[in-house]
Amino acid sequence: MKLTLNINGKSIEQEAPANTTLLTFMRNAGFFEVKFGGCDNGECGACTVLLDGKPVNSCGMLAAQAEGHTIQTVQNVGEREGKGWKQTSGLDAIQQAFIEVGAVQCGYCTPAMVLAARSLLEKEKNPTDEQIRDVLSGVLCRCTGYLKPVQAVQRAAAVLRGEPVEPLYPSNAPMPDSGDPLHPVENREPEEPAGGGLETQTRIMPQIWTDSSGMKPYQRIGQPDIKVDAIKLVQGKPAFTADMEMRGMLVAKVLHSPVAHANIKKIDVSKARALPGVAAVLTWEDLPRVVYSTAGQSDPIPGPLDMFSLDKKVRFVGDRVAFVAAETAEIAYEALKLIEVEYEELPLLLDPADAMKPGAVILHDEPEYVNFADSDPKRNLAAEIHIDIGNVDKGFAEADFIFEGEYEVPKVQQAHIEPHVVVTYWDEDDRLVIRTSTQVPFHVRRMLAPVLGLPVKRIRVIKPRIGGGFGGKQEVLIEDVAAHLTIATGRPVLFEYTREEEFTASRSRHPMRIHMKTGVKKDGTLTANEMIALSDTGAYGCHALTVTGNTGHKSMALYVGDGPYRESPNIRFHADIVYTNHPPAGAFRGYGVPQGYWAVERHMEKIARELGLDPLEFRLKNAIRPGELHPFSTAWSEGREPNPEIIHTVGLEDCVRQGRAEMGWDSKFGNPEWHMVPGKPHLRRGIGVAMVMQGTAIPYLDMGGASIKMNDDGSFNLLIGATDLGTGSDTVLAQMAAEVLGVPVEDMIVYSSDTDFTPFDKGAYASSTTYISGAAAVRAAEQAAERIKIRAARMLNDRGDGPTVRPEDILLEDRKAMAPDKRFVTLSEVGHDSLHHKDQEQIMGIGSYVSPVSPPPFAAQFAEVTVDLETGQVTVDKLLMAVDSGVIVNPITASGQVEGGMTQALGYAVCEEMLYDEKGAALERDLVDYHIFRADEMPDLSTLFIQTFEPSHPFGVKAVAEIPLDGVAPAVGNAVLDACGANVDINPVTPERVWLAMQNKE
Amino acid sequence: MIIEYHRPHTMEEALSLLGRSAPPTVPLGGGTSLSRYRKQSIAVVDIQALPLHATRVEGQNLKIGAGVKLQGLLEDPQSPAVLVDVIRAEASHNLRQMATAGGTLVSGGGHSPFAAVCLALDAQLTWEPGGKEISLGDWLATKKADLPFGALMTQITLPLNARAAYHAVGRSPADVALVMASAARWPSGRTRIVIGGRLMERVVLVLDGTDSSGAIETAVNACSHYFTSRYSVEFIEHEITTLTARCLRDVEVK
Repeated sequence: MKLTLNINGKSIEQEAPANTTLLTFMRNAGFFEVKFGGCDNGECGACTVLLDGKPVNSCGMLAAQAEGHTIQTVQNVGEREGKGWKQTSGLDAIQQAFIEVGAVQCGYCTPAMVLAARSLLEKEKNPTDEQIRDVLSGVLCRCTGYLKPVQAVQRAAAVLRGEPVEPLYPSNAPMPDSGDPLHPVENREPEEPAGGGLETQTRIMPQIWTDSSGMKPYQRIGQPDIKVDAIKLVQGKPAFTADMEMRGMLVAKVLHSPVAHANIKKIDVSKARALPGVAAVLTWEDLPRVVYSTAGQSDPIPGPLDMFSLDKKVRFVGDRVAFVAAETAEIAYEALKLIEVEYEELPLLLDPADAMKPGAVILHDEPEYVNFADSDPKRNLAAEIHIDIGNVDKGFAEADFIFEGEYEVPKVQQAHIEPHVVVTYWDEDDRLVIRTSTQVPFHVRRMLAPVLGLPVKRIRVIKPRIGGGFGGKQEVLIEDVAAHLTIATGRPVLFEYTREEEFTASRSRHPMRIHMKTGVKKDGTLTANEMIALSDTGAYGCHALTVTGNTGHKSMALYVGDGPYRESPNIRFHADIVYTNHPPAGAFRGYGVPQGYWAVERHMEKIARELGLDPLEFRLKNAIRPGELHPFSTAWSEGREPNPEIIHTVGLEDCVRQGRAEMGWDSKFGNPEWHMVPGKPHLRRGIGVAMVMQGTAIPYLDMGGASIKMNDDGSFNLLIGATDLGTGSDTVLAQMAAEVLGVPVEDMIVYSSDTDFTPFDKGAYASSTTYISGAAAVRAAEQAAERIKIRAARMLNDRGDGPTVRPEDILLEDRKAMAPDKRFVTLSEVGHDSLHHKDQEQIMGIGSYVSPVSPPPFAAQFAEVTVDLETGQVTVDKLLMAVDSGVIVNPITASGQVEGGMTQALGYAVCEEMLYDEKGAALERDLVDYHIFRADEMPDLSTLFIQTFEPSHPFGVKAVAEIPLDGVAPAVGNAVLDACGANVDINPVTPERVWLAMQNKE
Repeated sequence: MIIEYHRPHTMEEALSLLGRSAPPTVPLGGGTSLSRYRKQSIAVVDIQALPLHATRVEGQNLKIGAGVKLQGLLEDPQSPAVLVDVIRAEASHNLRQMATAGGTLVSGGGHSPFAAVCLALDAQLTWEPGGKEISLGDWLATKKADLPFGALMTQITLPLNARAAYHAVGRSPADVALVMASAARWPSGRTRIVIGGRLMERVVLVLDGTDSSGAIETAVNACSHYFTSRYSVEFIEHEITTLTARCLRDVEVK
């Protein structure tokens, strides 16, 4: 049917079938700012448009329904100011506020949020937070935790009311600091947030407490510079993988297995191939049999090679059976239905406890299987880890008490709003271009080369903006599908997962069963600590070893004991990581550590309470301190040779002190009156804590690279292989380089990443980008700065208007190269001179960095809950994280990481869980059954930074990205215990588990 | 798969389309359940141009056009407070702009708070052709009752003289309800209790009478089996008991 829609004031005509959704119509018409979230029933709201001024999900309505209505996208809201000679309206107040307060992270849902906010502010000039949260409830965001978007709308409302709104922080002021030096603050309740305008501004910057006497004054480090990608993202520019069109592009779909374990006896694709519009159908018979792993890690991959692009055996419901490329998605789906498969079903292995039992069915009997370390497919063992530090048995013998406990953590989904998506095509040199939403572009290139039968040099991987990844896109998950189909057809291919595929055929956090055994003296000194983990890697062993290794490496390293035990801790960690017929697990932000801390911190809480010890003091008494050896550093390093590592900075005690004060801990913990809710006798309040540590990068292994090129106006191109998946890493790397070069961030033109143009980088994982890639950017900047200083000194000396200047005396500041006597040349003059005038040269720098250490960030995570004693329902009222991540390069992006991380962890704590039926089929297949938090149900979120100066980094930074995932669940679990005495040892703390635990208590 | 789209401007035209035997033709409200039509080839009749978008009070009743959007109903000052609460619980802001009252009742499963409260309030549904009125309970029982082929729901009637309550338990404040209960009580003492939840295909009426003394036991007996594939019997029975008791307490005339 012919449809004519009024979009952004223009009539757009298209011939489209009746079932065309408004989303499809708009993306076909090039309105790429309307995003696909993987569904067609409005689960996530990324596809929001304004229909007659109201926000609606374009995936959930037919294009035909929209005829006769006005449709607005974010294109119609505002555009960048100053586009050459053409005057533009500039950005809208809402867009501007989203940029300023850091409400844009990955930016995939940002156009939708801006539109929703606009619909509210057009009718309500002075909205409450509740109204804002309601209007944002239709747009799911997995990055921000919604706090900054709410603040942005309040700030925009203030602007639109004509109120003065000051910059968040003066751009040239010293580093923001709430208390210098760090000192105790009064025990007080946090202030209630107020309305818009200047009051809003005061809420946006996180509190930062500095504990470093040697910290230098910086120009750019510590500043809330706006994200370098924010302006394009807030306008909905076509920045993501699927935001492109190519002539002749095919659409790929995958036939997934309906059974959990079977041999493919026969597969007939003749009918599918004969369907008009089908360009290719591929099965295992068509592809070379190349064994590989999908885990995006440095070479050699620390795990077994146990997968093929297509195999003659399927190992989980959702496993790959065949690939189809067709002219349209509808034809591709039709072709999938025509593929006839005969399965020879095999016994199922669904309980990981059965995996290693004698007689268990073997999942991987293929001869091509390649072992890594202690993997043993004959025992369904993808990996095994055993670490003994000190003398654990002696430690247990010396204990006054032994505490044991069983804990369990679920399989959960990353749920990035942009699904996995890839476009592949041959370029004019017959090189295969893979444009993909990946955290690891260089690993994609290296790992797929043998799978595709191409040398590395004939593959180019382009990483556009990423709409969230959280580890899910550390997997080389779907790139091979499109690539094989491009090879088969010679045509461009688009393949994007649906939301259901994300749940059934993607990766997830490893579920684990964990046994804890701890020896303790009467005074609370730990004498020995043991963790035994059984980890379910599912059908394939991607990240099996390293994820579960980190479960012990990070969570069991925090508590070393006190006194002589501090000198020589006794720690044991054993893990069996087994295959089952569940969908594979993989990387998920936190990378095994949240699993460990659920067990460790629930266990520590029970010990403290059992012994009548203060839970904060008990933990601090046994926690690792500055100058001590990381206990695991001599025992394990992601499957490679370990190296002893001293931990120099530990801000944990100050995290506890500041967090305790900010939470009002002393007036709540142990206070029966506070636990009661006036007028509601069925409700009880509780408060809980968890202490955690993570790591920062993988020592001696992962490398980041950066190059910098100076332009003739004094600006710089910063090319980085690192992948900003919404975290703001492009921005903080630019800030670090700008600090060295003495320029504002707006003079750094950042590009990431393209394997043809940008230096190598291992990618975004292991909390490494700011630390590793940042150090590389600093090195590159220092090289460029050296050349600038040489030239500037020569230019000043050539002028002959003062004493001779040496290059080493030149200071780069405020876009100038300045002599000690304040004479200067501008960087623009230097750039121009270097390219056009004298002894011409391209001023460049290139740097790379590998770290010998992995300095851990530390945090104290607090939670307040209300428990319904009758139903078991838990409402989380407040989350506060006090975190030592070293020096904070950008307080806005860093606090955004903490808020978003706490929100993901909140889901892990109370509702997120992937369950399977008795045949291994997923019960959760959408974002309705699998609930992630919405804007209108969030607890109060607070972030405190405790700044230490990590000496191993030029600017003293440590990681911040993953640690927010670690402590929320146990803190909530401990708060539930505090509220009602219920010990819930299986995460998440659902109403049923809380209620049953309360019954057990009674 | 949707193979035809129609947007009639008169009821006659709509009913004529809906009365066709081929292709199968169904009414289209907001479209929030489009995905259910993936496998079947159907035609849809969009009701947006039909006069079904008004809400009015008539005597002791609230008459809601089947095409009224949930957000419109939420913002309508005539809507009882409990209705506002359950509409918020029903869907996010975006979905409320699209979903219609009639469509939500037709497509809402056992976890629909709106359907639960409407059933507790003994909502009456008006259908064309013929203006036939049947109760939501009767319609849910068979999904068609004795309606003519191709009938279209045009109006929902809710009593304003009954007190209604709704309680639910979920994993988070905005999560789909694990278990929910709704109750309504009329001045006559007539009481209706409805149970729903995420594992139920539809909300279920468990009591309609003036004697509510055995209501909780009835609710437990009638509904706990829906949940036992995933939850413990003791827990579910306890939740139904607790939520039903809370609803009864709320509707009690003090």
